[in-house]
Amino acid sequence: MAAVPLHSGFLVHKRMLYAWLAMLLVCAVAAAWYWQDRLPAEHVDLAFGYGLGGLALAIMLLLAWFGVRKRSFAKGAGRLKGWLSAHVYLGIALIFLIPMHGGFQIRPDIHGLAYVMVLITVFTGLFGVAFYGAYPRRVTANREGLTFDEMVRRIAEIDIELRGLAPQLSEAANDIVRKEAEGLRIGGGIGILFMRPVNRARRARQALMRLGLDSDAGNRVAALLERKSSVLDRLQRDIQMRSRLRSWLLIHVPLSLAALALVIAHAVGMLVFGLGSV
Amino acid sequence: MRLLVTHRLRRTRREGYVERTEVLEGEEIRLGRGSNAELHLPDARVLLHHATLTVEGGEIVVRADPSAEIELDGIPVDIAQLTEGHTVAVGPYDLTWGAERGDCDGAFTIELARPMGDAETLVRARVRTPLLSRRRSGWALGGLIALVLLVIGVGVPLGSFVGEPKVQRQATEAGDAAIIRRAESLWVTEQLSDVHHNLEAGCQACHVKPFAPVAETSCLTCHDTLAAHVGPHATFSADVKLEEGCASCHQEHKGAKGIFPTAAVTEDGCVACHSRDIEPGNGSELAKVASISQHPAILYPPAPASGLKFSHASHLVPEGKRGPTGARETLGCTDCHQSANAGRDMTVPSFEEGCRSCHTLAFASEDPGRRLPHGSPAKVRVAVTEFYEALAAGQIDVPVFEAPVRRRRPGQEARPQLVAPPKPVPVSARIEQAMAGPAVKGQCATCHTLTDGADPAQWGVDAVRFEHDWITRAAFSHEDHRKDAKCTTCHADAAKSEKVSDVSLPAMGTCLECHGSAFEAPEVDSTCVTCHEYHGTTDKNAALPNDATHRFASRSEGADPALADRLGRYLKTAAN
Repeated sequence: MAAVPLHSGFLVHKRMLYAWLAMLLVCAVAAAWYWQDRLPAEHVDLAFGYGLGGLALAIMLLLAWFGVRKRSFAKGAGRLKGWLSAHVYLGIALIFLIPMHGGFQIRPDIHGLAYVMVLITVFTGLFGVAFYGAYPRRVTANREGLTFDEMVRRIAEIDIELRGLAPQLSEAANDIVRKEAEGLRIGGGIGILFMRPVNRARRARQALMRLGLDSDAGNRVAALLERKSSVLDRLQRDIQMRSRLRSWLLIHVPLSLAALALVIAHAVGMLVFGLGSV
Repeated sequence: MRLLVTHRLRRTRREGYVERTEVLEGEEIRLGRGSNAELHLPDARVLLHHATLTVEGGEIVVRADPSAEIELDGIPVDIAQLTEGHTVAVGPYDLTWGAERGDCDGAFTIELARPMGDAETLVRARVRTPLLSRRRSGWALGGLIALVLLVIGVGVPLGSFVGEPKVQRQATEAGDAAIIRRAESLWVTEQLSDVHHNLEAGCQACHVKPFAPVAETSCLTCHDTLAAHVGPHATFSADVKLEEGCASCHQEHKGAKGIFPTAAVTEDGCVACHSRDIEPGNGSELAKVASISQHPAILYPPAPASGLKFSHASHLVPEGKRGPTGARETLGCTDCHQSANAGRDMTVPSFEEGCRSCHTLAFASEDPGRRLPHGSPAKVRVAVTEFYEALAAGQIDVPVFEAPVRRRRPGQEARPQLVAPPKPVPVSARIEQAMAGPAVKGQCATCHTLTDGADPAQWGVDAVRFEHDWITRAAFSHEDHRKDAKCTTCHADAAKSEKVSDVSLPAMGTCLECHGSAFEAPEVDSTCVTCHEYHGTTDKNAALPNDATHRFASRSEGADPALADRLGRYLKTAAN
């Protein structure tokens, strides 16, 4: 157990109880599907299809309920870790249950779209599992005991010192330092998932060095900018990793709700309006 | 030149300032952050040498350094006079005219009006982490997905309901129809049945209101000749539900043949009632049915008195029957019975077609080619009378046979042979003789049962009746069975039948050798409606309208009140 990363302990929760249950469920349904598919078509397939559709919908609702359950860590039945474990493995089971519900016929229509959405939701969830296995430790290592706020405050402290020192510099050097402070950007949008923005503090220091330092104040400013750039790097890395850690949720959650809505529309359409095999 | 400078350091709580005064001396006074400036302004936004102050004509004049900028009341200028009520900005510092100048040449106050602000607040304002607060992005993405789904899933199909119904236009314009079909294909898992393929041009042909199940009125627009399932004579226990609506048995969009009820539908639907509520005690003449394999025996109606004597056994002898020419001919079923009514029935042969070739009805040796007509005794008598009268008048060439020559024995005298000439028989007597004898009456009696009259020559023929509806509650077609069955598969006893009253029809077990519910894997998948008509008519010729599209087009012009009326009447007859 010691080798298991702290944040992916849910994968082996209760000796992978939910993985086994999910596998058992899929195998049982597959056996039932094999059996019913070989019976004459009457009677059996309809009950099987409805039953399996109901089961899949129930699983989807259970998976969605995790979003509610996780917001109350201690309250509610069972441990949150167990819920997450079941959430992951039942989600994977859905990939196999739904095609059997549809007799392995996925067409380019609303019904097929609902399945594709479930597929994307599950796969983004798998990304989430992978991220949670890797990033939390790296985030902690990167911070070296500092909090995000502390890092921000450290930059502010450096800025205050720079404000005091910069007026003593030459016009050009003061300009570089002032513009660096004014142009400071920490973090970013979607782009930060893929690459970190340029460290302007480091650039400013390089520009300063090119000017040539001729005073104590100049040397100190350069040293301050060096420190600022390293804290800035750390901050950007922190934001990047934590953004990646949450990015999959950005697709996972809205798409899962859309899939749920679409599945309900599919079921209502089938049962009430008789769109297909009623 | 001496200038009194009041530094405003910070505001006090009571609208005042904490101040420090200073007297500056010199030809001119330089402002800047540089260490050589007389008025030192330690702010990064101020140049090393930013501006110069002089006193000209008693007024303080501020001159900007060529590379710097100053503002007079917010407007960038190169040179400004510091007068009462006006402010000159040097970087973040504001200079205002001072009234109390004491013994100096001029006075002004200077204040850092625009401080840089708290460094931490500034840095925090620069932190952008939209992905970490995913609420807004999530809503945005979710909204986008919802919008796309709404447009594709609902907007496109419902587009056909916007504005006036244009079924006619859609039917003719293939492009429109294709768009609608594409939208339909988003929701509908299977296509329309073959029989309704002409409705594909527009959803509205059946789906009159969006989001409402198809009403019966849509079906009855074309199918307006259907009779009620249960006739008015039937009686039921009160809770029997009749006529549940078309869709309880017929579902569309289930593929090419999906409109026809499956075994599951008919067995659930039909058997549900016919195994429970249909009982002789309920006044029903029908037997209970639990399933096709437990179908009750077929009750054929009793055979009527046919008035005929006919033995299939004596005709179907394997060595064959001797015909009028003397040659033997082996008869089979189809030598007499042919397919009729588009293959549904088999004929019973007429005398002329089936019997005359052997039973020639020749009756007089004087004219072997002459035949009796096959008709009533009166007709026959006319023919017989005609013949004998013609014979008496010598109008008929009677074939002459030479009398045998008697030879004289040797030693005997030749004696004339005395032969009495035949007594002339009157014509009327010959007619009566023929009518009462084997030539006429005997021949008729071969097949017909006769009733004797007062006179042996006056007899009647019993009425012949063998056209008979044996299967009264099901549809049966010989044609459907010809490929897979021989005549004797069902009519096994026909070759042994001695009498016309023998019924050589199959028992239910014979049907069940091939027919059965689909889930019993029979040779022929069958449902109740394979043989039985639900809608109360067995008229196979009542075809459905071919040109249904035309009729739908006319319906789209407005709701048809007659339709609703017809549905009402239909359900009422069903309930009665």
